[in-house]
Amino acid sequence: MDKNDSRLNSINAACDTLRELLPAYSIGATDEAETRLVESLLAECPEVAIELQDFMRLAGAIAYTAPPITPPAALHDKLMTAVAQRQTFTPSPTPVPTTPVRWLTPTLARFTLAAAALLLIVNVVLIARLFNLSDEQQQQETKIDQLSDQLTRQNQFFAALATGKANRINLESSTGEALASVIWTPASNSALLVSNNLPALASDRAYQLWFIRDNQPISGGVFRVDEEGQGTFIFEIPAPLNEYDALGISDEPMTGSEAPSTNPVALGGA
Amino acid sequence: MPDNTAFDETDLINRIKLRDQSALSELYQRFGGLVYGLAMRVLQNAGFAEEVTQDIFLKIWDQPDSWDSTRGKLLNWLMTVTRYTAIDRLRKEQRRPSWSAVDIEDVLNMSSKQGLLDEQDTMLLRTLIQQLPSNQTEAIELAFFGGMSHSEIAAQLNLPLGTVKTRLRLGLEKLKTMWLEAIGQPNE
Repeated sequence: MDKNDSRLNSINAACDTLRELLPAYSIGATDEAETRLVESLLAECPEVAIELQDFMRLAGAIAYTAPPITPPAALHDKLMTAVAQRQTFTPSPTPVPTTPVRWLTPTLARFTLAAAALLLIVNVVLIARLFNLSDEQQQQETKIDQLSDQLTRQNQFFAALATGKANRINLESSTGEALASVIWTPASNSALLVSNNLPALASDRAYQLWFIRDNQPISGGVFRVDEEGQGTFIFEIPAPLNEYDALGISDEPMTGSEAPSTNPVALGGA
Repeated sequence: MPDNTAFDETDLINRIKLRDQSALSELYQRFGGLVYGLAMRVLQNAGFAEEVTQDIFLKIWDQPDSWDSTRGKLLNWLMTVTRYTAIDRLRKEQRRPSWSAVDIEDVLNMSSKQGLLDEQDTMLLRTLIQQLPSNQTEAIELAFFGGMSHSEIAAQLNLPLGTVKTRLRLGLEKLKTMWLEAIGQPNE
């Protein structure tokens, strides 16, 4: 048996394992180690991973089999009382104005991904990580709020991915180290940022994404990464990204800045 | 099941964005039973289910932009978020580690294509589940509504881990096959 045969057998075995775990994974029944295994194998076995979609549809349908129950009458009043109290809700603070730092546009580089299906799989893995809700109620609520905001954008993003090819922009450090990628398609006004290796942030800091045209940065929103520098961020794009000169990421306050206040951590040509 | 025929969910959400409390009340009147029913199915506790239900509708009130009419049905979004929220609450109450949940997005994406399940669809799925061997149904329900993993189900039922894995896998595979055939989309 040559090396190619050996590798093929290894991949087949891995895909068989994925096939066995996929049903349970789709409803969140895999143990933590199994979940990590599934996530590591999804990209290797796209022909198996595509089956995940049907299992996910089934999972969505199973939720409806819970019989509807009329809530206690008092719950409506309680909800509306809580809503009335929230009418005094104060909007979130606006970004703090900061001294702009002039960024230079890097050499443009453009990458095209081969298949939207593979991106779907990658996103499945990344989104799954978002749902590792902590034991702390506050953290749960925060994460669910964040997820709520992202879910709708993701739906649109996925629908667009299914229609054609996607583009990828690599964002690199000044030394050329790959730190993050942005995946986008002209068919969607949303895009996905995948951070693989961004430096960990101070607790009161966040990364801010910038669209750069004619050396003028436009904010694409703020996001954070985990201790290993990994994270995902679905964001709206005001125009197709190839209309910009570059994308950049800077270290900013949690509320974001009106313009980059630090030198770019990562840059990539759009 | 809700009456979807005379319901403009986009208009309702737009009214909520304009801080129209009657719109949220209408949304609750329409879907509160489904959300509360699912929360009760997961939590098996009226008090907790009420809290989760209120949280879900307050999230809509606080963040109406979370949902967009072009990106799937509102009820599908509500049901999926409700399940995740309820299971997290269940695990917290049971002092179990946080739930390593998976892909809510794909569920929403696919559900949006198929639209809402009506009463007939729901009855169909319930009937299909009943056709599974009872031990497979039990494993699916513990996993889906109880938020249990393979090993937690094995401990709960005092069964070998491999047995639980097999029951869950076979049950879900069979249910998926039957369901896709029933809705006219058989496996290729």
